[in-house]
Amino acid sequence: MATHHDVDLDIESLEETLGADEPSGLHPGWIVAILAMACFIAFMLLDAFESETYFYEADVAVAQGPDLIGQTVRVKGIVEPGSVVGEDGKLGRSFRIAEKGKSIKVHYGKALPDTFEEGIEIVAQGEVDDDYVLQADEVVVKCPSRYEGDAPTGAPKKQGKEGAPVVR
Amino acid sequence: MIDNQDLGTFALYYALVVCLIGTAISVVAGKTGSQRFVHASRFASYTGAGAIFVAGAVLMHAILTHDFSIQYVASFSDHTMPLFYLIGSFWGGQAGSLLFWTSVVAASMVSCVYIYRRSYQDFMPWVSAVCMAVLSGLLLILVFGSNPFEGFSIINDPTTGKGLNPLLQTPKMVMHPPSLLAGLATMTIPYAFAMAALITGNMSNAWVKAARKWILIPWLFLSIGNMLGGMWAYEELGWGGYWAWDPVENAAFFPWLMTSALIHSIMIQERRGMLKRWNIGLMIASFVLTIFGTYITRSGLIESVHTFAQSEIGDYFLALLLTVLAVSVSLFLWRWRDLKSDQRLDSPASRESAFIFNNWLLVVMTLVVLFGTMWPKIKEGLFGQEVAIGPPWFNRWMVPLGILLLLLMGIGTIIPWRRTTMAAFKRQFVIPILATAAISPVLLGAYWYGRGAALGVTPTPLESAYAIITVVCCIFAITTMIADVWRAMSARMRKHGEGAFESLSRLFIKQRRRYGGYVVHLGIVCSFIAFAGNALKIEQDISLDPGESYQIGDYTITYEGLTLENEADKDIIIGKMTAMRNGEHVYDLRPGKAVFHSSPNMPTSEIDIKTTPLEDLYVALVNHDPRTQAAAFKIFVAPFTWWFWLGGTILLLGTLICMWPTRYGIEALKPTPGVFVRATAFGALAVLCVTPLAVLTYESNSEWGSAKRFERLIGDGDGDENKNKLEQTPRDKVRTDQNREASGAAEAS
Repeated sequence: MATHHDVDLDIESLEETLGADEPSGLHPGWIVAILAMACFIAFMLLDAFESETYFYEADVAVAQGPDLIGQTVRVKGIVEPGSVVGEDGKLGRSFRIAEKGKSIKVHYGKALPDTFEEGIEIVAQGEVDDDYVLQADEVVVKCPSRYEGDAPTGAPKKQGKEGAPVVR
Repeated sequence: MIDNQDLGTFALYYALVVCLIGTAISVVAGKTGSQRFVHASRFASYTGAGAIFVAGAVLMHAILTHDFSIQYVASFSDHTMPLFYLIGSFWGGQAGSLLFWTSVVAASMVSCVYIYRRSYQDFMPWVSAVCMAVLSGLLLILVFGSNPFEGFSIINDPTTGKGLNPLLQTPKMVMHPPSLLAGLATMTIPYAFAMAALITGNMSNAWVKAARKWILIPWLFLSIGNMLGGMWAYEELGWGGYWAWDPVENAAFFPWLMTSALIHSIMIQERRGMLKRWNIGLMIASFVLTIFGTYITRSGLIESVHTFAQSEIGDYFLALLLTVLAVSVSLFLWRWRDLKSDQRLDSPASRESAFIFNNWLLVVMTLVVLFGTMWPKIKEGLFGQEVAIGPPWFNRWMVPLGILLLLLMGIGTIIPWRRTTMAAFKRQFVIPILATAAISPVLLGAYWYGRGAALGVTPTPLESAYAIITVVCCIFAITTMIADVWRAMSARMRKHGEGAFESLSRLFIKQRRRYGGYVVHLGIVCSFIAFAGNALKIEQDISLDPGESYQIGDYTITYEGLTLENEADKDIIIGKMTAMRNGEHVYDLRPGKAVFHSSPNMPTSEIDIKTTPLEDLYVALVNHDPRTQAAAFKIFVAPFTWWFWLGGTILLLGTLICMWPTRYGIEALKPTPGVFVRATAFGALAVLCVTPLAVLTYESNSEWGSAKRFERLIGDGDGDENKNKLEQTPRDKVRTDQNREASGAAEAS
């Protein structure tokens, strides 16, 4: 007992022996993981910047002028009354969308959403061709709002259909 | 005479005052431990909740009795709505949904205070304080920003209501908001426990033990809410998908991801006292993201198809968000040092390590979605240029991360605790890997040669690779689960001499969380199979004359004609089509549309979807020419979509198993009228879990699922009040979207 030199029962040297196995500083595995994460984030960000589609209101889009040709953009505007061209029962519609007096022509070959009609705000995404027509692959109409603030009043009805959002 | 308006508004003000005072009382109770203040704090929480319930009852009463002197009631309901939708209009608008949220927080707070009235004595005052502080914040917004009880002045009193948008009048859409709102609201309780732990400095597993019982509740509601939203988008909107990475969808997704991470991470703290900082961090993140999500949804900050409310309320939510964030983060940093782990990580190849990786993966996924959602706004703020980031980017990054998650699910099930020795690896992993390697080619080949090739799809190499890897990982996840269950079963069978079925049942009874969790994982695997099927989707927009056919996949769709019905209040158009495959008649298709004269800009579609486990055939009528009967259609063939709904249902059943109360849990509810209360509680839970599937089944097999439901929406003979307001539409001028030029400019618009 006291005569045995039980070094391994000595608490301090015991801890030293155990502690000696742990590397000081960061385990290489952690460094690899952090680098991997950093690479991932870098690629993701670069890809995001490349995938950005510029978003313009119709007047700003028109103001871009020749720069707009060949670009893939998203344009928001209100469908000009009287500008919708197309045949019933057939796909493919052309129309103009306008914001603050300036308008741009949009052509969409697929099925327009149910809620599409004149006077409503839409967002169209696609490439602008040489004739300044936006060849849209996507047309989105604002979802009729549940939380619309407009409450009915007893005042005489303005020009517009009942239940329709009052649009400028 | 007290009317609804006054009573309701008073109730809200009263609740606000009580909650503010109650917060103060609870803080004193927490600091001093005085029993008088503890009692007072409990009393305050019951009273505050009571006042909120009164306000809710008043609003519901006002809606059901058509009290149109209240602006909210007039905006979102009308005389003709059936009872079900009347109830649903409670949360149909901004103010009502906020009141609903507040009511659920109040209800959870009351349950919590009651259940723990004899335990967690050091935490409970602080839990009450946090809950009442959150309630005060919500009530402030209600009272000053968005009061559901605002009335009209006498001159403006309308005679009838505006009603609910027809697009939203389906059972799914009635249940989607309360489900999500309940998910956001119930997140408050586990968050309160985390805050209580930080405040009291009790860094043991106590808060985790309390929170783990509650954390499944918000997760369950968020899962149901997201599923119902996806189902609605798929069946009603006509673009053929169920998730579009829209900012509002993402807002409901962030808390779900973080809560999923938390549910797993808590297990590690319970077992080994590790990941304490992670757990507090994940809990704070989950709660903050619920408020953040609400903020971006309601402020109109971000362009979204779901544009909702106006900007005034956005500022209130921003204030709430910043307050919660500031308080939580400061408390977290204050206690950072005390949150050291009890144990060290032994090896990177261990279950603890897998769970840590899981946490990181889910955090990265949340950050990816958060970045994609917020970057457009940040860029606009920094550079003044508006941009949009669309689904292709989201899918490009989320798909590989999702596959990693799936793989981790398989690995995490069988990887040993602490460290994996070579022998353990052989014992655990070899059979599942071999089984996966054997089964995958068989299943993939069987599908491809049995069905896929016949469809004539040509996915890109990358899409194919992702789809195949997904299926392989799904099979791996299932084999690991079966291996683990089998091991446990055979151990029981040997030790207790039980039969196979009995040992399996006993496993489920004795370790509900673990085996319920496996069922939930099974649900996730099914959902991933649906995602893999998206790689093979075929989509076509076509226009056909009567008698013409079109080939999509290996279906030949023949369009026969239309039936048109012009009624006083609406026009119903139904297309008649047949689908043939290999010369055999497979389906009759009846896609339809109803155009209401009262709101012709919001036609409702009845999309015909023929669902089999292998694929969905999906046809929507887009527009038509009433003279030639030519019509345009949107057609999809979407393989394996059904598996998403199956996966969701299995997920909910698994959660039901996890949440099934233990005997101890039942004891905590005493003294109560015993059986009745217990039965009600369990029954409610079970009903909740089967709700989405029940809704889907009911809708598919009843009037709700066909064009006939259009009859119900306007109501019979009750349209007299509406007739005065309707512009009389001559019968021959059928309104359709694209008929504008023909009708001439004489129309009002």
